[in-house]
Amino acid sequence: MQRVQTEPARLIEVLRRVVVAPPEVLGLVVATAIAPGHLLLEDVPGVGKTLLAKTLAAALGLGFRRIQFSPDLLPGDLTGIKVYLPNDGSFRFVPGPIFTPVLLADEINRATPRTQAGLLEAMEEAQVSIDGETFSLPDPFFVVATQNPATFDATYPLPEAQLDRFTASLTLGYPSYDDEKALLEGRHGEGIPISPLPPDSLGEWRTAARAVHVDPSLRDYLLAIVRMSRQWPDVRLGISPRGALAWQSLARARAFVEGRGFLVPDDLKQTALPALAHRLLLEGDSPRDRREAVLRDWLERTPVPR
Amino acid sequence: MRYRVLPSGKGLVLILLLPWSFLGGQALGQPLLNLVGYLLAVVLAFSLILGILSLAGIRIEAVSARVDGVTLGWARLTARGARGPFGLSWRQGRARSPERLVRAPEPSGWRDTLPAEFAEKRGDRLWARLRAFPLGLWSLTIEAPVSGIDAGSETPTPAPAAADQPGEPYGGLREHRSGEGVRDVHWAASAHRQQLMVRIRPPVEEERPVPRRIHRPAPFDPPERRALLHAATGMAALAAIAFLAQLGALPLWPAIGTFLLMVVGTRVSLRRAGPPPWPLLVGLYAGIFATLGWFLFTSRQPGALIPAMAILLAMVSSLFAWDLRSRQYLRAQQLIALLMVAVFPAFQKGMDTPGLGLALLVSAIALILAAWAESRHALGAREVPVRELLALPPAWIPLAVIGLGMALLHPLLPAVPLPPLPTFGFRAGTEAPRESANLPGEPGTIRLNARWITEPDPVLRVASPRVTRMRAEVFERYGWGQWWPSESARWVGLAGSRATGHLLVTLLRPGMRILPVPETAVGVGTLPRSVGLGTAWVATLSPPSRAGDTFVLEAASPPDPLTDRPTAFERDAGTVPLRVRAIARSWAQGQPTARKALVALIERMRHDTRYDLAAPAAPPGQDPTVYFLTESHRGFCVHYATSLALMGRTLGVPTRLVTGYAGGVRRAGGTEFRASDAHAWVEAFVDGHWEPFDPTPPAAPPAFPWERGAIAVLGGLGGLAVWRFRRRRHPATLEFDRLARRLRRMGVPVSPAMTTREIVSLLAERGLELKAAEVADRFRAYEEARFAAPTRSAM
Repeated sequence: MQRVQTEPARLIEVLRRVVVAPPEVLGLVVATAIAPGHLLLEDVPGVGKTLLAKTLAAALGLGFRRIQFSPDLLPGDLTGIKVYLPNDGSFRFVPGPIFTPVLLADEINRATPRTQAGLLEAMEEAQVSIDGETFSLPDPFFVVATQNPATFDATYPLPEAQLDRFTASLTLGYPSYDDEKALLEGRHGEGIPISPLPPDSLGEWRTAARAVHVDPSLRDYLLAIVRMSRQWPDVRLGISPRGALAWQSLARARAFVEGRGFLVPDDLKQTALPALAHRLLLEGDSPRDRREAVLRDWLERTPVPR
Repeated sequence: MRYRVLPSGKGLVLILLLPWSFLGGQALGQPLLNLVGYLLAVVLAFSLILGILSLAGIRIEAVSARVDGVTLGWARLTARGARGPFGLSWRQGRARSPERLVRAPEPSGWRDTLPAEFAEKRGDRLWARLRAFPLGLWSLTIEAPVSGIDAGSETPTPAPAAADQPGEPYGGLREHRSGEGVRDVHWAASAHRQQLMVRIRPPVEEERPVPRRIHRPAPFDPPERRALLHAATGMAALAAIAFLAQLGALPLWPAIGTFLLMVVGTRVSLRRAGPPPWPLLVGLYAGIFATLGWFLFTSRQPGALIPAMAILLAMVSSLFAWDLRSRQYLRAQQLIALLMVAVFPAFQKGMDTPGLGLALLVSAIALILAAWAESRHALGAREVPVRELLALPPAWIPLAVIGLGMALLHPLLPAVPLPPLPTFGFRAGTEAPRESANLPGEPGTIRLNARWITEPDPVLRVASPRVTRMRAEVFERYGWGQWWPSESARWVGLAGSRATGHLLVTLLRPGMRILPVPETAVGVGTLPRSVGLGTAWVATLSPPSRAGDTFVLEAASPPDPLTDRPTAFERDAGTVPLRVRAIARSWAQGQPTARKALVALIERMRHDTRYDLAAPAAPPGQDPTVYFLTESHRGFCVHYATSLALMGRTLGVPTRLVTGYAGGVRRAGGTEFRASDAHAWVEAFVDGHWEPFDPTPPAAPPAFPWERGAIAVLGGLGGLAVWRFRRRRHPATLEFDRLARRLRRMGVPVSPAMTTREIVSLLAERGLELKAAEVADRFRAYEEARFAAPTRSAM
C-alpha cells in the first residue's frame, strides 16, 4: 500500500517535468482522474492542455485519443457505427475514438448539442448504446474536455445539466516567468522521456481513494456550503447533490494524492473551486471569475471544522 | 424627496425608558435617575439631529443607459453630508464609499433585482431609497423619485429600420452574410422567406459599464455599523445599569467594573480580530460571577437577577462580535429578549412603581422584534431553523451550571454578609455606629437606628412551659426615628382584676422598672383572640427590681374595651413619613377590612424585605422606616413593627408598639427568657378591641419563593439546552486552539474559516518560514489526531 501512496506524487513529478503548470493544478488533475471523474479545462489556446492529457495518459500507461470537436461532428463519429458486411449480410460494430482510456475532447463547445449529449451520456454511463446494443467503455475512462473562454463565436455553450457531469473544471493559466523561460530553454515539453507507471495503477489508486476516511464534521462543512448555495439570494441554480458527491470524491482523491488516508478541511477548501465553480448559475450573466468570487465568499464565511 | 424618521429597536427601548426614568426619579426621590433620563434624552436628540444632517447631504440621481438592447437603470446615491462616527452607516456596503451605483437590468425587474432597501416601485414611478442608522438608535429613510426610468413599462426593442419589413411576422431580422455562424439563424423566418435570416443582436461593447461591486445583501453588519451599534448598546447598558442600581436591583460598582472590562475587551478583540486576551476574559467572567453571586446571596428580590443577567449577557455577547460569522451575538440577543419577558412578573410584583413592568414588557417585545429583524438581516434573509437559533454557545455552559447550582442550593446556603461596597458618595447608606437598645422593661426610647440586643444573658423566668411571649412596654408616639415613652400611659396595676389563675415570674436581672407579663403568642394569618392578661396592661415596679425577685401574677380576663380606647397618639398619622404613606396605600389597595389590610401589609413587607439583625442604619436625615422599606430592605423586629404601626395609622387603624420577650428556652418547670429574646410587635385596634400583630418574619426559612422556582426551572431548561446542543470538542481541537491562540498573540489573524494550510502560508508570507515549518508539523499531527479514521485500518 505504501507504494500506492507514494505513486501519485511520482506521477505529478513526471507531469511537472513535461507540462508547465503549478503543482497544485497538476495535483488536482491527477485527483480528478482518481476521483474518478472527468475534467473540464477552461483555458485559452496554447497553454498545454493537449500536452497535459497526452502526458497523463502516457505516464499512466494508458491509451490516448484526441478528438477535435467541430460543428459538423456527429455522435456516430464519436461512438462508432455499425457497418454492413455484405459477405454475411450482418452488421459489425466499428468502435469510434471514444473507446479509449484517456480521451481529450478538444473545444467541446464547438460541437452541436447532439454530439455533446452523446459524449456526456457516455461519460455518465461509461457505456455506449448503438442500435439497442450496449458496448462498455474501457475501465479507466477519463475524459479531458477543453473549452475556450475567450471567444464564443459559433459555439454551443454546454447546458448546466451537462456541465454538472464534469467532476472538476480547471484553468491552467499562463506559466510563471521562470517556467516559461524553462520552456523556451527546452527543459519542458514534448520531448522529455517518460517512464510509465504499472498499467493498473489508476485502478488501484481509485480503490484506495474510496477508502479515504471522512470525518462527519467535514461532511457537515461540505453540506453547509452546498446548502448555502441553494439559499443564496444571487444564485439561480445551486449545487446539486451530484455536485456534492463529486466534491467529496474529488477531495478524497486529493487527500490520497497528498499521501493521507483521511480527509482534512484543506482538501475540501482547495477542491471547492474546481469541483463547484462550473456548477453554479448566478442571476444575470455569470462569468467564471464572478462564480469563483461567490464561492470564495462562502468559503470565507463558513468556519472550518476544528 | 421624502424623509421618514423611526426609532430603531434599541432606540425604542431607550425612548420607553425615558419617561420611566423621569417618573421613577420623581417617585423615588432619586435625582440620579432623572440624570439618566436627561442623558438618554440628549443622546437620542443628538443622534437624531446628526442623522438628519447627514441625510440632508444626500443626492440621489438616476440615469438610464441602454446596453445590449437592455435598459440599465442606475441610481447614483451621493452623500456629501457629515460622515464619521455620528454620520451615516449604510444598511449595505460601507460608509467609506459615499457613492453607490445601483443597477437594474430592466425596469420591470427593479423589484426583483434591487433589494427593497434601495428602490421601490410605486405606481409607475421608481423611488430610490437610502437609510441611515445614526448610532443605531434611529432609522432614517430618504426617498427620491428616480427620473429617466419608467417602472413597469417595457422598453421596446430597438428595431433597425433596414431590417424589418412591414407586415412581416418576424421582427429584428436581417439577411445571413456568408461566413457567419448559424447560431442566430431564425429558422422559421428563413423558411418563410426562402432565404437565411438571422436575428439581429446588438454589437457587444468592449467595456460594459457594469459596476464592480455587484450588490448582495451583506450577511452581517459592516464594521462601522457594528461599532456604532456597540457604542449604542454600551450606552444603553450603562443607562440600564444605573437605572437598576438606583432601584436597588443591581450592585452598582461590580456591574460598572464588569462593564468597563467589557468595553476594553471589545476594543481589544476588535483590534486583534480575535477573542479578548485571557486575563480580560477571566476578569470579565469573575466580575459576572461576582455580580450574580452577590445577587443570589444578598438579593431580597431574586427576580431582579434576571435583568441583571440579561445585561451581563449582552456585555459578553458583544465580546464575540469581532467575528463576522459569530452567531453568539444574535443568540445572546434573543436570550436577552426572552429573559426580559421572564422578568416581567417579577418586576410587576417587586417594584412599587406602577407600570414599570408594563414598560419593561413593551421594551422586551421591541427587543424581540429587533433581534428577529437583525437575525433575518444577518443571516442573509434565509429561513433560520429555531433549533439553530436556540443552540447555545459553549461559553455559557459554566454560566448555566453555576446559575442552576446556586439557584438550587440557595435555600440551603447560609447568608454571607458581604462587606459594604464603597459608595463614593453615590449613595448615602453609610453604616452609622449603633448604640445598644434598652432591654424591654428598662425604660427609655426605642431607637430604630440602635443595635438590637443579641446577648444571651438570662432576664426572667416564668413557671409555665406554655408561655412563649412576655409583654413589657407600650409605645404610642413615634418621631425622628424613635418611639418615645408615653407620658400619659395608663399604668395599670395588677390588683383589682378578676383572678383566674396564678403564675410565678422571677426577674433574673436587676434594675428593671416594668414587669413583663405573659401573653399568648400570635401568628399572622390565624390571629386568635388573646387570652389571659389584658393586652393593654403594663405592670410597673416602683422600686427597680433586684436579681431574683419573684412575682405572683394573677391571670385576668381581658380589659374592658370601653376603658381601653385608642388615644389620640395611637391614631396620629401626622408623624408618618410621606413615602411610607404612599407605600401603605399602594400595598393595601383594595383590601375590604382593616384586618385584611394589615395582613396584606405584613405579607408584602415580608416578601420585599429580609430579616437581618445587622441591617444598616439609615443615613442621617432619612427616616429609618423609609430607608428600610425602600432602600436597605433589611431590618429586624423593631423595623418591621414600626413600619406596620405607621402604615396602619396611615390607613386609619390605631396602632401602638409593644416590646417584650418572645421565644425563650424551655427549662425544668418553666421558660427562661434571655436578653436576645427581646422582641417588638404591634397592637392594632380592630373590630373594637386591641389585637396583637407580629410582622417580623419567622426564623424558619420561608417557603420556596416562586422567583427561585422560576430561576431553577429556567436554569434547568438552560442546562438541558446546553446539554442537548453542546458542542463536543475533540481533544485535538483543544491542541489546535492552543496553537491558534499563540499565533493570534503573535499578531497572525487566525480566523475560523482558515484551514491549517492557509495559516501556514500566511506565516510564510510574513517571513516566518521557520515558524511556519514548525507550525505545519504541529498542524499535521493535529489533523492526524482529529480527522483520521478512529481505528487504524490498513491504509
